[in-house]
Amino acid sequence: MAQFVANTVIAASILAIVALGFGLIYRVVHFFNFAHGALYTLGAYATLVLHHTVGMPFLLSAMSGVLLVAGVGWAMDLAIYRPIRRRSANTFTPMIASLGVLVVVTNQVALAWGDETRALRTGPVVEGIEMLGARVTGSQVVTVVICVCLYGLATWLMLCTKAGEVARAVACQPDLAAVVGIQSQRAISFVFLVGSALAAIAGVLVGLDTDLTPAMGWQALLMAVVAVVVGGAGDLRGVALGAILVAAIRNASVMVLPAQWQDAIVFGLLILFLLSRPQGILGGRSVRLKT
Amino acid sequence: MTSVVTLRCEGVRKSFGGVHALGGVSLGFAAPGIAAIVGPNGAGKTTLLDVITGFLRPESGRVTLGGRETTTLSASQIARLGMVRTFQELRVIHHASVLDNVMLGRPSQRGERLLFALSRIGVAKQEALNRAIALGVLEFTGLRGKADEPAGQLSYGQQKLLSLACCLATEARILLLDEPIAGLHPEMAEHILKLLVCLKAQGKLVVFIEHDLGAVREIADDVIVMDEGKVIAEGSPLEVLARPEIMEAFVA
Amino acid sequence: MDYLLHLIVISCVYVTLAVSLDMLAGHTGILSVCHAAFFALGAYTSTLLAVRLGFAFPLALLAGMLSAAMFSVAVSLPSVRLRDDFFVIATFAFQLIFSSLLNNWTVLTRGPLGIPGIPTPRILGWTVASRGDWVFLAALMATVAFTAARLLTGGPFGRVLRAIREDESFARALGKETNRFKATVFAVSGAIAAAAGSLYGHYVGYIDPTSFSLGESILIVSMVIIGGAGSLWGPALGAVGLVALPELLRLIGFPAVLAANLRQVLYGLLLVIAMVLRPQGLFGKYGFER
Repeated sequence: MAQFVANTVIAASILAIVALGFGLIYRVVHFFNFAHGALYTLGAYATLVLHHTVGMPFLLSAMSGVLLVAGVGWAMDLAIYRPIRRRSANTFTPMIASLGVLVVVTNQVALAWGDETRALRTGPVVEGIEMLGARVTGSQVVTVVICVCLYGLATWLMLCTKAGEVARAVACQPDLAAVVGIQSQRAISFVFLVGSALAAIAGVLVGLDTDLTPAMGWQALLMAVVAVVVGGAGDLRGVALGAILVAAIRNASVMVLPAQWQDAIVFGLLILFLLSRPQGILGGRSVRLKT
Repeated sequence: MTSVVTLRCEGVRKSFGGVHALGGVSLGFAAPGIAAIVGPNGAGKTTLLDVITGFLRPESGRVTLGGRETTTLSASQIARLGMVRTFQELRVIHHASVLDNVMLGRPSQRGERLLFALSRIGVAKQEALNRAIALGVLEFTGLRGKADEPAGQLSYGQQKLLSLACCLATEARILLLDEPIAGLHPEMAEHILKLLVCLKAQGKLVVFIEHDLGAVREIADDVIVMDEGKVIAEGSPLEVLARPEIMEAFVA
Repeated sequence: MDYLLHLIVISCVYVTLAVSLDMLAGHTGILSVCHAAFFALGAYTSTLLAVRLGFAFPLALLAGMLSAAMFSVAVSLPSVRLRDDFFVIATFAFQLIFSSLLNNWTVLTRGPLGIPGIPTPRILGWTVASRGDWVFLAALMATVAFTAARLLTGGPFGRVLRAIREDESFARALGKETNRFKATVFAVSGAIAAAAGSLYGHYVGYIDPTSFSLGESILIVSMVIIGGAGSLWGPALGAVGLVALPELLRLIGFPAVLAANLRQVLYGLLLVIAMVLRPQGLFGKYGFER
C-alpha cells in the first residue's frame, strides 16, 4: 500500500510538472499546445547533449538545457502562434500548428539521435532508500520536492507579479485577436517562457529516472491533456488534482487489469469527462459548447 | 384563407446561474399581425425569443403553437413547424452565395436525404424549382441583383435583408425577428418595415424585438413592454407608449 | 515499373482516405483525428472474416464498411456537440483507445503479431492477383469514393454541410436537423475509410496495429489540410504528394529508414506553415477560422 502511494506520488509529480506548464499556457491563450511535448523532449535531449557530448557537469547542463528550451518556446510563440492570434481568436488553428511542431520535433530528434533509448544517468543504477515503508530513489524524491516548489513558484508568479496579473487578465479575454497591447503580448511571451521551462524541467527529471526516446513527448503530452481536462484547466490546483487522479488511476488499474490497458483506461476517463463535464472537476464556468 | 394560428407562452421562467432572465412570462399572439417587444437592455427579450424558438429550454412554463406544445422541441423541429427567427448578432453563411443562403431555407429538400443525395433521382428538378422560388424571395426583398455574390461581401443592411429572405424561404407562418432594423440607414430600415407590413398582408405573424419606438408606432398592431424578465405592459402602441411610467422604464 | 504500380495502389488507398476525411473535416468542419481507426476497422473486420470464416472479398468489404458506420455512430453521437478543440481531443482519445484495443485484445486481433495470410480476393470470378489487377481495383475504389464524396458535398446535402461548418445555429434556425447530417456524413466518411482498409489489408496480405496508429490519423489529417480542406481535389493531391514524398527522398539518396522520419518532418513543417500562412491549404477555399 505504501509503495502504491509512493509510486502514485512520484508519477503524479512528473505529470504535474508537465501539466502545470501545459495548463498555464492553456489558461492564458486558450488552446491545447501540443508542442509542449516537443519542448519536454528537447529539454531532455538538450541536457543529454550538453552533459555527454559537450561535457558540462550535470546540473549546469540541466539548467542550460532548460533555459535553452524556454527560449525555444518563447520563439515558437513569436514565430508561429502570434501571427495566428493576430488573424483570429480561433483556438483550433494554433492547436493544429502545435501538432505539426510536435511531429517535426519528434522526428527531427529521431533523425539526429536515432530511435534507440539514451540514458541521462552516467553512474550506476542507485539502489534506492526506504522511506515510510516504500522504496524510492534519490532522484525520485528530488522530483517530488521540485514539483511542489514549482507549483509554489508558479502560483507566486501568477498571483504576485505584474506579469502574472496581466496574464490573468489576458486569460479572461474571450477574443484573443483583440489582445494587441504590448503589455498583453509580453505577458503571453512570459507565460510561454515559463511554461516551456516547466516542460523542459519535466523532461530532464524523467530522463534521469527512465530513459530518453524521441517519442517521449507524446506520452507525456497525452497524459497532460487528460490531467488538465479532468482536473480543470482554469486553476493550477485543478491541474495538480488532475495529475494526481491520472497517476492514481494508472497505478490502480494495474491491480485490476493487465498493465497494457493502463492507457486505454486513462483515455476512457478523458472521454467520460469530455462528454459529461468538459470543464473538469475544479473548472468553474462551464465550457461553451458548440451552439 | 387566413386561419388564425396562435402562438402562446404561459408562465415561462428562465434563469442563468441565479440571474432571473425570465420571471414568468405569459403572452399570446395571432397571425396575421405584427407585434413588437420592447424594453431596456437585459429585459429578457432575446431570452424569450430563444425559449419560444427552442434554442433554450425554460425551467417552467409552456410554449404552444396552434395549440400544440412546443416547449421541449428542438430549434430545428420548431422551425419546421413554421416558426423561424433571426439573430441579434447577424448570422448568414458568409462563404456561400446570397442565393445559396436563401435556398438553404427551403423546406423538405429531397436532396438533403442521403439516398437522394447519392442517387440524384429527382433532385435536379426540385433544385430548379427551389432556385426559382428563392429568386422570387430575393426579388421581393430587393436583393435579386446580388444573388451570386458571396454573402460576406454584402453590406450590413443587405445582410440583414438576407437573413429575412432566408426566413421567408422557409414559408414559415411566424417570423420572430431580433432587432431587424438596428444599426441601419433610415432608407434601409424603412424598406424592411414596408416588407414586414407586406408579410402581414400575406397572412403572416411577425414578432420583432426593437429599440426604435418610431418604427414600433409605425407598423406594430401590438406592443409588449418587458423589463427585468417580466411583461410590464401590453396593448396598442398608441396607448402603451403614451404612458409616462412606461417611458421611464426605458430611460432607467 | 512494378514498384511504380505499387505506389499507385498505395496512393489510391490514401486518396480514398483523404477524400473521405475531407467530407467530414473540410466540408462539415468536423476535424477528426481518429480516421485511422476507421481504416483499421475496415481492414481488421474484412480480413478477419476472410481468414477465419472464409468470407469472399466483396462481402468482407461490405461488412467492414458496415462495422465502421456503426462505430462512427458510437463516436459521433455523444461527441459532436463538443466545441471544436475539445472534439479533436475526444477523437484523439478514441483513436488511442482503439489502438490499444488492436494491440491488446489479442484473442481477436492477435495483437502485435498481426493477421497474416490474407487470401487473394476474388470478385465474381475475377482473381485480383497481378499488380495490374490491383491498380485497376484501387483506382476504381478511389474513383467511386471521390464520386460519392462529390455527390454528397454538392447539391442540397452539401449546402447544409457547409452551413453547419460555418454557423450551425443558423442552419438549425432554418429547420435543418444538424445532428442527423453530422451523423450521416460521419458514417459515410467512416465507411469509405473502412473500404480503403479492406482493400489495403487484402493487397498487402498482412496487417498489424502499427499501420493504423495515431500517427497515421495525423498523416491523413495533414493530407487534407495541406491539400486544402473542403476542395476534395486538394486532399486527393495532398495524398498523392505525401505518399510520393518518401520515394522522392529515397531517389535522392536518403536511406529508407530515415526517409520515413523525414517525411514526417516535412509534413509537420507544412502543417505549421499552412496554419501560419495559408490555413486553406493549397486548393482549399477557407481555413478553420470562424
